[in-house]
Amino acid sequence: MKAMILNTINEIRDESGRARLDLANLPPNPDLRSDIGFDSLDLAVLTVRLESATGVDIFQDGVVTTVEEIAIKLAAAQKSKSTP
Amino acid sequence: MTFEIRPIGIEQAGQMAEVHLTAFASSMLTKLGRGAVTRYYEWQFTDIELYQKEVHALGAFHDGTMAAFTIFGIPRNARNGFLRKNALYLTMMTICRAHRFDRRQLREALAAGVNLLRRIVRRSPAMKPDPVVAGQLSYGILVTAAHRDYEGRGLGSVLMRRIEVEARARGVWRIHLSVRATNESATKIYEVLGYRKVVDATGKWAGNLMTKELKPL
Repeated sequence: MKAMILNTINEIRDESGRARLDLANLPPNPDLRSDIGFDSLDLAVLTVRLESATGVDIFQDGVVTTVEEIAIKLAAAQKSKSTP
Repeated sequence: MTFEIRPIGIEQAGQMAEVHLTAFASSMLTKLGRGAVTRYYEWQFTDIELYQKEVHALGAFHDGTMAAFTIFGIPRNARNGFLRKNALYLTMMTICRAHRFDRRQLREALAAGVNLLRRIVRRSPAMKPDPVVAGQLSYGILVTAAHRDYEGRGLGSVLMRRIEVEARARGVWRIHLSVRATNESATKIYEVLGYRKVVDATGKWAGNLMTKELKPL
């Protein structure tokens, strides 16, 4: 899950001419602003891309500030979909 | 950092003004002062039945402080009604603070004053019909603003998404907003969120209206 999120993050960075981030060089729970370097536009793109890929609106219940928070939301949404 | 999103109303007009003052630091309304900004937001929740408004507002709070807010719905007479209701106060503030305006703002202030006088003299109806795009009721987003201290965190996007949830719940399937053509950063974000420019017959965007069709979930 985190790998998918970070891959999407790197795609967005790549498209805007920024260097891709190496997972090994990031802190354990990267902050989207201070560690990833995302601004409002990047966050909007990230939201839309992740929703397109997973069907989950990570901003639906509020702001997410770290990669871990995104992963938790996506995992919770997957779990509720698979629970009868 | 966690944020609580909840409905807000006229009681939070002062907090909305606080956010506005930092989010739109160079706007004409800001230059008229905190009192004018507060009155503007109070107006949006006033005379609801008289002007057949439908106004909804959401605030994003961090530790009890308003970090961002949005007002949407059918906010009739958002500008002209505010000007009429506060004509004397705004005239006084414009005179007292004229030195803060740039030339464009002074021209706009003068034009607004002249138009208002014309309406009063002719007793023109204050209401204009809301834009009903392609025959379908559309919610307008009057404002979305984030306090400077909370910029860049995606609060605007969160609020825009919540507006869509609220609109769907009320059977409204189109949302529109207006944005200055020069505000490229906001325009890009709106486009990412699915808003499209409304263009004229020649294909030109007047730098104003954007709309989004909401799909059923």
